[in-house]
Amino acid sequence: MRLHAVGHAVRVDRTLIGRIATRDVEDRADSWRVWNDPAVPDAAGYLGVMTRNDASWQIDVPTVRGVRGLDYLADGDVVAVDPTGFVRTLYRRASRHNFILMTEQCNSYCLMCSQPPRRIDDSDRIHDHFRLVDLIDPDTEELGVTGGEPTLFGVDFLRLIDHCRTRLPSTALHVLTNGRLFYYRSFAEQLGAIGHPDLVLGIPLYSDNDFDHDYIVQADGAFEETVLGLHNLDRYGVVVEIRVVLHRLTIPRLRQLAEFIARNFPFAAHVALMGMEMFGLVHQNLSELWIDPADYQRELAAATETLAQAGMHVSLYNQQLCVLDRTLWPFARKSISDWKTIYLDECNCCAARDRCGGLFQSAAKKHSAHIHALADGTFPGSGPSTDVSTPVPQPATPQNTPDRDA
Amino acid sequence: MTFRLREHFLNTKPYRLLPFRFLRFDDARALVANDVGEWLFLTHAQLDDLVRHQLDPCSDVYLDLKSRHFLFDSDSAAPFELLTAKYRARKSFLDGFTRLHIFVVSLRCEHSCHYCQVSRVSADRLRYDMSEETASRALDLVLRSPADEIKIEIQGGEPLLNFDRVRQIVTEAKAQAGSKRIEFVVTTNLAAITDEMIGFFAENEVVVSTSVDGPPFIHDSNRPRPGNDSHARTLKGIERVRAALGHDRVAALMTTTRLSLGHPREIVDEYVRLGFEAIFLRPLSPYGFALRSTRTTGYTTREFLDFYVAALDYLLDLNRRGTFIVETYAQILLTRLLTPFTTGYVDLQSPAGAGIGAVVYNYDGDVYASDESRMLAEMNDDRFRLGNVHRDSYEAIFRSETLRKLVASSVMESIPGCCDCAFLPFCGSDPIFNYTTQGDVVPHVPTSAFHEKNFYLIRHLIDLYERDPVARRIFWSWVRNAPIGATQEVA
Amino acid sequence: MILEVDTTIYPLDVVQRAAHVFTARCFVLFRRLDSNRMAVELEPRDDRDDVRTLSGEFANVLLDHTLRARIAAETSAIRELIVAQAFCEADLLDRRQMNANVEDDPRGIAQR
Repeated sequence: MRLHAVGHAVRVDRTLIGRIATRDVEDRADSWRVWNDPAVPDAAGYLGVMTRNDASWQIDVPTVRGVRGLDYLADGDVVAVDPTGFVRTLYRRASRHNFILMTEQCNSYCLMCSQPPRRIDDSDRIHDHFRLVDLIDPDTEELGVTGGEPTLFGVDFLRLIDHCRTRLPSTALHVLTNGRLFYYRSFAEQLGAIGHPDLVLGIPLYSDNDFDHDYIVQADGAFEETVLGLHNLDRYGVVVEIRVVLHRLTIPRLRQLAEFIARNFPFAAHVALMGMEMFGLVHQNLSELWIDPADYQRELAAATETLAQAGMHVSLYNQQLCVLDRTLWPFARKSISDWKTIYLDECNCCAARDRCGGLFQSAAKKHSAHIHALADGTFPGSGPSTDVSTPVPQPATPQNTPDRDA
Repeated sequence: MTFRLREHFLNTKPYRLLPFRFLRFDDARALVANDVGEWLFLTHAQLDDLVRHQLDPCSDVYLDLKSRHFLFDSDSAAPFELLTAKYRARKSFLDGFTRLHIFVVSLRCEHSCHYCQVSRVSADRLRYDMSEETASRALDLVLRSPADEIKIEIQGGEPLLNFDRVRQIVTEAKAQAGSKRIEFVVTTNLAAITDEMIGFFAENEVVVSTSVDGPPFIHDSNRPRPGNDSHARTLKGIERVRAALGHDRVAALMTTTRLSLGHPREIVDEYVRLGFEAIFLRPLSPYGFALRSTRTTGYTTREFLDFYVAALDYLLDLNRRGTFIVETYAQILLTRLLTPFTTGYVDLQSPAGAGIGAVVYNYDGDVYASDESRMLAEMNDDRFRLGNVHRDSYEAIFRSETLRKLVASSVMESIPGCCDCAFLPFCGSDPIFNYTTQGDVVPHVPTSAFHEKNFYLIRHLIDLYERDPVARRIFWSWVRNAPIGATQEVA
Repeated sequence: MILEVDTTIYPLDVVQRAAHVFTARCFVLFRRLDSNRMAVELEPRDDRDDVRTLSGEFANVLLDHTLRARIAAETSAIRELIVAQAFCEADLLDRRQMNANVEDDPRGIAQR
């Protein structure tokens, strides 16, 4: 699935963000009218007109022509069209994986970063984000906020969360952040004070010690900041999730990390252990990071058991069922965004294909050497949950011990 | 941007120790433990290296000790933040001050249990009943407790013999509760239960706690009553209460007597047969009638521990084969060993729960720091009486010098023997027990039965946990209070 | 059985703690011999308790308590700080950086 296309823009003097309208709508000023008919459209009042064709109409409204590959776009989806004719899909109603890419800046530089940061000042984007939130359907169940590092926008980050609270009160927000700036207590306090009804911060932690974590994220002091950040967020009632990327540097002490999480962050609503995405900076560090997932199943099982037995909610992301230890199937989720998922040829006759999350598109050339089709009847029949939505936060282990000796 | 090498992030500062205690566990291993309950095994050589600052910073044991706060090697605030947060969590049983309020509504009882802690009187001695006025005054004090959630436990003698008082306490407490959440428990032998009482319990969500010492031959021998049918009556009562209130609204406790010692399996089997998911293997307390009849019903701590271990083995076996049943004392110790959470168990905490965790209002209005100190008063030693509901204010009672001294003496860090013990974070103190058995609120640890029991059990559980992966899984299911497989987990 | 203990190696506090462990099995008496030495008299309560084993065990326990004293010397102040901080609302350590505003970022966390 392509998420962008290039067309020929006329009268587009700045980036115009609007909803797709395949038929006539009332809120014309917020809509990009999709018009593939050769006849001249009645375009008055629309934000713009988008067409597949190389039309030659002369109309007063911003137009982008020759846009191909975006025919899947439906009413209510949101696109951004810039003066160069670049059309970007920002939001699709039919997708469960919509997100706001807050910024491309980051204060970490993870060895395996799949969204390599750029040293630019893109703080102006915040206006686009506010506009996007204004246009998103309030019935949207979940929305992600990613980057780079979203909290680098400081107060603007907080304002955007608040804006989501007012415009999209029933949309669950899942923010991916390194959590480091929550070292400053007041920042955590302010986020808590917004009182968003369904906000989860997904924060990575890669080791139980500072050496390894700081090295992996390439930032001095990051471990200390993240640990304190997690505690500050809990102090002010912000729900957190802890994420771990599985690779050769995190696997050796994975079980110890699991224990560290269970004992120090029992308030974490969820822990996600994630297969590594083969995209971005990882290729510069491949020899240090790559490990065939088939070779880390023992460590993964030990870590998962450690967390689950302590009563924590655990999910395994980006694992292929044919490689995943059988005892871990109940924890596997179909986690890869729909537009990034692929299956291999081997998968065509796999009886577990529907339950399996497949692979990252980026894994086409580098993936486990042990992918193979599973025959029907060779694996537990009753289906575990393959729901991939952000789990509902739950309190930590309940107390059931008695008060006294009588 | 370029990537920085691993060496850049490695620390080169020499490490310093964080506070911890140790125990020479066996010939091969030492156990180290710190105030927040983190523990691990080291070889004796590793322990010496640790203290002499000779541990290799690249070794796994170094990293294990660092992440569990036994050493630190930078200015990072992380270990300090985690230590203070976890210390506070472990001591959070102190929040809200007195949470457990025990009402002795009557000394009357028709049973004559050998180990009874109450100077019970026969059922016709009405003057040993708590009066309406006393109950009201006591409730005034109860509601002064700062805790958001409190538990009112009504016992006796046999409380159902003074059911009017039970009804009054529950009704008045609920009416005056305000924003407090109140849990009610009635501790009864169920022999006198009626449909009216059951109906009242159902309406008011009262939980029932009863005694089941084992199969009839043990239970009836321990707990004589006219007709010698305690077991049958208790079972009947349990059935009736379960039918009206729900299966889980009845809990049972057992008391171990000399007779029990030879029958751990039969006792556990009885609990399984009756559908209980928890059994609390309690030793005799050295008080009241138990003290008087030591020769016939008494036994040594060693004998109790042998019984306990046999019962625990059997319980683990049952769990292994798919029957979920928890041993409650082990569950408490394991929660302390395996999680950062507190346990609200007042009989094993430091500072002790006397008065500050639990308090007793006797039928005559006298207020005591614990059930045991009430018993001492019945044996003419009233030094642990805190006051009387008719005469003394809340402040006079709960800020009394008696209570203050009692609690101060119970802090384990100030008790010789306890202060250096590696198991300190998992254990607790019981100053009244010490006073009763050794003549001083401060124990003589090397000869203390309290120490012997707890030290042995904690060590035994750690040992099992370390060497038996199946026991480990079962222990975790006890800590979570859910059978293996009931919650999301590795099968 | 009388053991001679060099008090320049084993301070009095250490000897007391070690001896306390044995008070279940022995009667214990201390005597000072001179400025550097003291005598520890251990009389078994039970005749069957072997004196040689007892003295060996005592020596080991003495060593352990020396180790504990060393740990305590290095860590008591920190322990007090941890306990005090656990129960104190205000920050006892210098936490100015943690209490700063995210916009000021004195620690430079936001540095790209």
